[in-house]
Amino acid sequence: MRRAFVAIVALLASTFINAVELEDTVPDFTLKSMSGQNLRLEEFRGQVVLINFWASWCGPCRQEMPILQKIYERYEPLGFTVLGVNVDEKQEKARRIAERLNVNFPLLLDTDQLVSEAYDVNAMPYSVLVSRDGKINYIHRGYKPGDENQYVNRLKQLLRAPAIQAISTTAETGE
Amino acid sequence: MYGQIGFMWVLCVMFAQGAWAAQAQLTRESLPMKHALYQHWQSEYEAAYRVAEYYQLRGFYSSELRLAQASASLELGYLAHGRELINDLDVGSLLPENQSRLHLYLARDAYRRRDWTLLDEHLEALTSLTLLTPLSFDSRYHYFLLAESARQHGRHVEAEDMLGQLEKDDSYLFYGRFNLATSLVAESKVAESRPEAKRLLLSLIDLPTRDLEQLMLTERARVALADLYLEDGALDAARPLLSKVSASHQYGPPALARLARLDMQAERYENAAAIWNHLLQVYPWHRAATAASSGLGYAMLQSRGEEAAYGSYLTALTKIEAQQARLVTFRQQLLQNLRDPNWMLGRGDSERSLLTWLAEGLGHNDWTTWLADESVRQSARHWQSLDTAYTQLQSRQQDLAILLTVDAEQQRRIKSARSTVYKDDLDQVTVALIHNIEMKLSDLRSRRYEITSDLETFATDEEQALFDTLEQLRASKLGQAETERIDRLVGLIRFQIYDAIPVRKQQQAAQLEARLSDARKAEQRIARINTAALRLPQADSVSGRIHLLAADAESLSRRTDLALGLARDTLVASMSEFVGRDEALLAAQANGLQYDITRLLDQQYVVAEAVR
Amino acid sequence: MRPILNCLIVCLIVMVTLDAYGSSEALDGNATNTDENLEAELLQLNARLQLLEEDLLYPASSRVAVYLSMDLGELFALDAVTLKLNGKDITHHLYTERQVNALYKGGVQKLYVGNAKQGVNRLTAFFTGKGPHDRDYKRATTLEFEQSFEPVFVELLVTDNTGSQQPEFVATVF
Repeated sequence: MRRAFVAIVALLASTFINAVELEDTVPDFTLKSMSGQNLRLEEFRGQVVLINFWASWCGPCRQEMPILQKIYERYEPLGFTVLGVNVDEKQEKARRIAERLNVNFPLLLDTDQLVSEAYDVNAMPYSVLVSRDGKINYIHRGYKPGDENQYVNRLKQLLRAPAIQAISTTAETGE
Repeated sequence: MYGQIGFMWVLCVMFAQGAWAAQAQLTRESLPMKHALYQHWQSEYEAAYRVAEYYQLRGFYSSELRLAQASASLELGYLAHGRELINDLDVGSLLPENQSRLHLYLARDAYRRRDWTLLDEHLEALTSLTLLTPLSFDSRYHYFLLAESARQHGRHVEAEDMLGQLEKDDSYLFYGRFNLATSLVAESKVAESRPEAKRLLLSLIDLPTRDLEQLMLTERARVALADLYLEDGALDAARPLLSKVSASHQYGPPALARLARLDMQAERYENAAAIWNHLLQVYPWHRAATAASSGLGYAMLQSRGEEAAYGSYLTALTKIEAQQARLVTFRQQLLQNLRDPNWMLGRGDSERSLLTWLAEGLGHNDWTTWLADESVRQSARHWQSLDTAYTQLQSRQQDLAILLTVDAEQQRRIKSARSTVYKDDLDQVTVALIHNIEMKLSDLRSRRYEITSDLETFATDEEQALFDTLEQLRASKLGQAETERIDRLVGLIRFQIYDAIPVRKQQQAAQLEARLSDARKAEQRIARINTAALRLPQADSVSGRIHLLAADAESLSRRTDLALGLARDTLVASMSEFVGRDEALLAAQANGLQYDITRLLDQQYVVAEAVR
Repeated sequence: MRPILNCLIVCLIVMVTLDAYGSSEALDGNATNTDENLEAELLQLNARLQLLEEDLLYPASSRVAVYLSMDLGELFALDAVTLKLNGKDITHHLYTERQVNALYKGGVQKLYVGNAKQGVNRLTAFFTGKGPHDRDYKRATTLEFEQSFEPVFVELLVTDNTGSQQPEFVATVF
């Protein structure tokens, strides 16, 4: 009987790993970045995050990344970050591309593709926009020039919302 | 060199560690608190709370653990709940760091409610605590509160001193100075206060602004200072201040209205008319524009004559009527929209955002003042966290429902299997069967077989049939030769069988072993059923827990739903009231205009009469 | 509902009451309390669920839990830990700076909880990180423990008691 319970509870646990949908809480992960740091998604809560899955063999990805870099530079001071997640099995190509494109937002390495599996990545590039409170706001598959406007419009809206968890400490004015 | 730095580092870390210095060995007593702190120090307060709760459920209890839970509670903003948890502990026995935190939260709460006595109490506690240990959290707010308290007591110099501890780009500094200036202005019966107020406002205006919030305060200060100048009759000092206020922001309209009035006073009617007109075009709803319709009419009258004045009154009136119509629609939508979850859930749809709806519906952005209200903020925040909680609960309930079903099914199966076993005495039958087979097997293996008697054991069915037939034949009185032939045949078959005994023995043994194995499996299965059945009471306790959790989740879900409804209703009511103010304002403006029009027509009538 | 509320809360820190008709109504303290309690109750419910799940998945008779802690010592950064139970990989964890700091201050991480067979089990822990003088290091430690009918608690301690400038890893049952 115990075994049956174990099976059922395990089954339940696995239902949490189904395809991510809008308004779901984004699945957490920790990956090593190209600079050697370990970065955890949940530690970025409070910021607006664009998770961008890419691969070295994907042309549109390479087209998109400089654009993402510009967006990152522009909005980072307002509490925004891009997290690039590379799904190549070997790092070398990815590193070379990153260097050549002169990208300086965090680039994470998902060499065993566990994270891209958890996110059900079925296209390249694959972008997920996350609000400050960790909810998925928008998913975008592929890239063609002009798509970045979608990101920018939505992230501007999301930026206007301050972190929900932060307890408001704004002073009141007197009369 | 490295050694020195290392040593300093060690000292710093030891200092930062405080009373919770790491110990070399972990114990079951110290584990719970340290685990909770691991989450706490990563600012994961919900996790910290849950961890503390988990260990208490497992039977670990310590006051440090309770303290960690209370700390997490405070950080999450659950002041009352945190206080409840702390009440079990002597507040004085809390670490100074946590006492400080508690007092700061409570001070903020008191400040928001304008409970100055309570605020002072907590500030006093904070001050004596910070003498012992430096505040580990943001002390800016502490200084701000001290300044506000001093201001409230009329100790303006002290208030300014406190504010002086803040950095130039600190928003609290803006707020603090503005409040102080406002207090001084309120005291303006006392002549000395006015220069002080002016000085403070000037110092505020001089601060470089870093964000929208600070900019707004600066604008507000400009208008306030201009008012002081206007009251003193220093019109020329007021004018440049007012001109600097950005027309596109919140304080634009009041500044513009004042400028228009200045122009009216100076009889620069065309100028005034332009400003009044602008106000009416762009901010018809604003309080500052209340005077605009009349003002414009009068300015037109003076600069362009009656017809122009009449025209402008009519235009203004039409606009107001249009806006009033919009508000009616908006009100209807308000009740509808804020109650309809489907509308509220507009996913990923940037067009239908609340901001757009409010701006278009109300025709202005002034609803932000509604949002700035503390009670509204609270309602909105609670609505949001309750909504999240409610969704979580729904999925928990689903999980529990599944567990309950599985559990019920499991129990049913075990009970049914058990009863079958009992009904047919299967356990005993199986034991007997096993015994039987085992006997046969050992028999088979150990015995030597006599050709004469035991051969039958190994005869196949066909051979046995042959024997039978041959016996029958022998019994039917045949001749000598036939009988001999039969004997020979029988002998041959016997010999064949004897030859085949080893193989057939193996075959039989294999068959018996297969049967034995099956019987043993059945025995094990029965044993498992029995064990499971024995464990049913335990399972009952697990399923009891599941039932309890499901019931609690259900009840919590219901209560959350209720609270959600209440929070939503509060917001709707509050918004309604706000819209009501807009409606009243427009109605007042419309009335005023009607009156102006009537007066204008009356004058015309009088003039016409006089001419006749 | 959430995007709407996000927008509602947009202006929480931005706009200031415009005028002298200031709206500072007294707060209704009661509404706050009820809502707080609901939220706290949800957290408590989640804790109970976690407990139930643990009891179902890892019954006491086979449960083993591994906790990681750090003792004050020379500065070094822990990068990753891998655990093997009886030769099988059971967990792998990458440590962020925030997590390492929390460990440093005396926090303890619940690294793993699972099932072990009755009798003797072999737990191996592999550590990687940067040691003193920025040197990379890799270490392992093994523990044999007996699983009878009670849950087993294991501590993985990262320490530098001897000041030898080498990190040490000690696994003990407690």
